[in-house]
Amino acid sequence: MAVFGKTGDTHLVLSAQDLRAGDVIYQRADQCWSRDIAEAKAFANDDPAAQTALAAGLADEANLMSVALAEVRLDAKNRPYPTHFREVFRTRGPSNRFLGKQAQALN
Amino acid sequence: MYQYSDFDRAFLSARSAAFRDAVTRRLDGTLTEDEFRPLRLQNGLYLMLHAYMLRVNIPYGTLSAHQMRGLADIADKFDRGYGHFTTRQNIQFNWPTLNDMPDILDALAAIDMHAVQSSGSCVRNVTSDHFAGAAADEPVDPRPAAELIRQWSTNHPEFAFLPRKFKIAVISAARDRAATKVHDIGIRIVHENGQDGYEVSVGGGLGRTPMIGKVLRPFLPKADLLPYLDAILRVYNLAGRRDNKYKARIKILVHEKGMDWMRTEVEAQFPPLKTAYLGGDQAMLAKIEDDFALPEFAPQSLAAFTRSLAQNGAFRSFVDTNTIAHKSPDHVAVTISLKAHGATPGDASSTQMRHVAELAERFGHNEIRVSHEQNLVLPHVHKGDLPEVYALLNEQGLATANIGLISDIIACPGMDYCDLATARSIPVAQDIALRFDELKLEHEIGPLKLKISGCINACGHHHVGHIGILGLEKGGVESYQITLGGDATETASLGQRVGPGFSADDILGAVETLIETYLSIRETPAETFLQTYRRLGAAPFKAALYPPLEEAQHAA
Repeated sequence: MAVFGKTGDTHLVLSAQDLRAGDVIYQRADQCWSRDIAEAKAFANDDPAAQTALAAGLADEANLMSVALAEVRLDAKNRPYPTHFREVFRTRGPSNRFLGKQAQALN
Repeated sequence: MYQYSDFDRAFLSARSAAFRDAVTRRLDGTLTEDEFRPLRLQNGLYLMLHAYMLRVNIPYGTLSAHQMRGLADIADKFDRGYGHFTTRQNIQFNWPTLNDMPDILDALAAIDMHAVQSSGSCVRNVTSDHFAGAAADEPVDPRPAAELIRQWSTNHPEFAFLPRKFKIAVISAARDRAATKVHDIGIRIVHENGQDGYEVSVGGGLGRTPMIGKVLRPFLPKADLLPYLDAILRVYNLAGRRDNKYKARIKILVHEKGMDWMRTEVEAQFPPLKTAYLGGDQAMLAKIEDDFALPEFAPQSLAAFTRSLAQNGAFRSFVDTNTIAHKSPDHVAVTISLKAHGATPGDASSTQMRHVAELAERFGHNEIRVSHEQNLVLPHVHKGDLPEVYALLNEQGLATANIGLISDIIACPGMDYCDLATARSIPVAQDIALRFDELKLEHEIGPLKLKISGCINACGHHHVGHIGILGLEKGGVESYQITLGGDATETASLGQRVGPGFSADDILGAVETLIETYLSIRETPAETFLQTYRRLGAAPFKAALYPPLEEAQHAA
């Protein structure tokens, strides 16, 4: 499975899309899924647990699609944020319409 | 337009029920994604960057007012209140959920529409001239032939799993407004020596290996259309490459084996196929032709038209830019721009869709067309009604007089929506349209086709733009390559890359530089951008885009 935007000394989060809604989701430390990347569990790049989580995600076909590891950096509060512009769009929504996560965040 | 039969409705009903069952089984875990994927793709359901996307077929771009209202209702009930009209004359909804999909397909079936074969390795929606059945320069309406092909190719048992997708376009006018030369098969209706028939081209396409189609048969008798298509598809199905998806389109087969080989193989397959057709297809075509009869036009005053032309400059500009001559001298075909400056090319809100439906009912004999250039068309409007149509379009931001100009940009959804995209397209289109509107230059620039794709798959047709822009990723940021000299018409050509790419911040300036250069070197105001490029080549444009370092520093 691809790791989108993998470069340099960064962290990884497990990303997927919800089977029912198609919405982008990220796995938290408690194994539940969040629509907010800032709540995702960040793995060190060389942490084998990332690959274990990826394998478990790929196996969860009843709920998940497009399971992949995404590269992130951590902010001052250790919250992940995306490094690659593709992942930035996935966390936000389209730039031509105020839809997707950027709109959900207001609700 | 074509009228669905009880058979058609029963087929769609059964198809919709089958997909409802498949969705239920996917949601309860009975079907894995690998098992479900081909089923959802055969019903037009993709998973994109933020959500699912449903692509709905609009056969040869023809819609009734009733169907447009139904699409608006689907946009409101199941999506986000808008639809996106595409370069294949289809409509896409960007936010459906899997749970809602069976109900959406039922809602489509209720308006005689569907998403069957809008994805997958099969024959896709048959496209045509968006002015078909209306344009003054058209000998006959190509849509009956397109409808015959649609029926032939739907659920065709032999061609359900082709090496790759397969696109067919049909036209009649000498002026190619359907980009037939960049289709797997391009068909032009011709009349020679007293006989009706078809010129058949094969092997065109865009994507990562763009090719211009070549004529396989200059004249195919009318009665032979379906067996000849059977022969082409059979040759492709048997010999097309399945080892590499990037080499699986028929254009690669034609390129690798050559046209002589292709012609020999097709002509070898053709005779037995021809004898298998016993005339039922031609009887069906005759019945379909009746469905596409020109509407009956009642005599009407032209006074309002004449008065508005004389008194209203904006109306005059709209008439000049957004209408074309009709078979009936008192009528015009009106293009409704979905490219208001700064808008997303091809997007229409549900309110706009209902508005267009109402105009089609009141003034347009119930017909609407979708163009591959991502606009809508009212094909039969009496000139006497045109001032009122114009005023009503204006109320909904649908009267932008920019058809064929630099802001009438084709743009794929790009990375704002598409899972395959490598860069965004829409914001680039928006910036260019806004900038040239601000400069008030687009009418002076004249006819110019600018086309933007957000990846090498070329859904935005950048290879055949007079100016083409291809969005790529380079070093972790968006980068835009420019091609020049492309043409999608009967004088089709592929654009040539002009040089290194530009950043997202610089691409607008690069387009401005190209236009400034063109305006400074064209021989007369009547010489179009493409004509100037063909006369002088890329050199003056390259020189302007990539000045020697010293000169660039001086300019800075």
